[in-house]
Amino acid sequence: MQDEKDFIKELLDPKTQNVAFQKLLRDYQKPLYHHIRNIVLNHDDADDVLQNTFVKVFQHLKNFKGESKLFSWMYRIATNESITFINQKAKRNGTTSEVMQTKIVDNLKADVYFDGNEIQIKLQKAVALLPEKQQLVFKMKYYEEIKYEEMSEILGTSVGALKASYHHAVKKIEELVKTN
Amino acid sequence: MKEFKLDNEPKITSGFTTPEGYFDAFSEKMMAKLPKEESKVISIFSNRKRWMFAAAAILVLALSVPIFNKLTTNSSELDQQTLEDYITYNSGISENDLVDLLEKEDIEKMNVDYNIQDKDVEDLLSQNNNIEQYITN
Repeated sequence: MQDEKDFIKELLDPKTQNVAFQKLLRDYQKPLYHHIRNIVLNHDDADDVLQNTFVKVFQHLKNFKGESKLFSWMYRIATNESITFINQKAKRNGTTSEVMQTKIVDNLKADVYFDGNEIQIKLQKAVALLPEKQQLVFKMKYYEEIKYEEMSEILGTSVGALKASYHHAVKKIEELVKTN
Repeated sequence: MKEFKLDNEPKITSGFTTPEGYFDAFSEKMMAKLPKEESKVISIFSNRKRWMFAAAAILVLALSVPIFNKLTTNSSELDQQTLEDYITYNSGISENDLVDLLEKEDIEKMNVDYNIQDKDVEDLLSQNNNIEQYITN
């Protein structure tokens, strides 16, 4: 934790800022990208949201109290940005985010930045049919392999509730894949 | 269809890929963007703050004008007593001059309705010992 405080100080000090920010990007851009991409699904959108996320992180770093870990704080920003993004995009297109996400998943084969076989597409399609919260928990647990304790800090939900959500999600997915 | 158990399957990845060299390019893009973003944000914010202070100051000044006016006029206004004393003792203004200054409406307002009943007059007269003298005169 002390290391993290020093790191935040370096990020805020104009003299060490550049080096520190480079390290921040190196450590977090890939996991955050995949977290965002799993929610927004499309590469270009993920790229936009990832940029916004880092801009927000940088802007609000001075207000970061260190109550949670930098890791979970950044994930929380990324999650909020992603969800806001898909809701706004759906609104612009005059539809709901559920309908929009299903459409994107249905066209995954045509996405140049998707390289998956039948079972991967089936799984994506099944996940897209889950309620928003279950989708999020499933993606974070299964695809990103984030621990429940960390997920709890990111999403502000108890570990027990997260486990239950994941369990429900897996049951539904297995059902959906089987019947499809 | 055969039973599908997520745990029995080999790990299924999301299948999402990125363009080649994307993360290196992203780092560069962000590094070029962030310091600018930061200073821009600060300047906009502090400018906005300054403008808000200016606007607030102007608003306070504007709102205080009527109050200020009221205070100053109040203090220079003569009180009723002083005015009456002046008119009574120091001026050559006659009653007629004053009446000329009054509007018809004002005069009507000054009319006092004594509401004298005939009976009251009779009572008063009957108590007066000199009444016969008045009548004969």
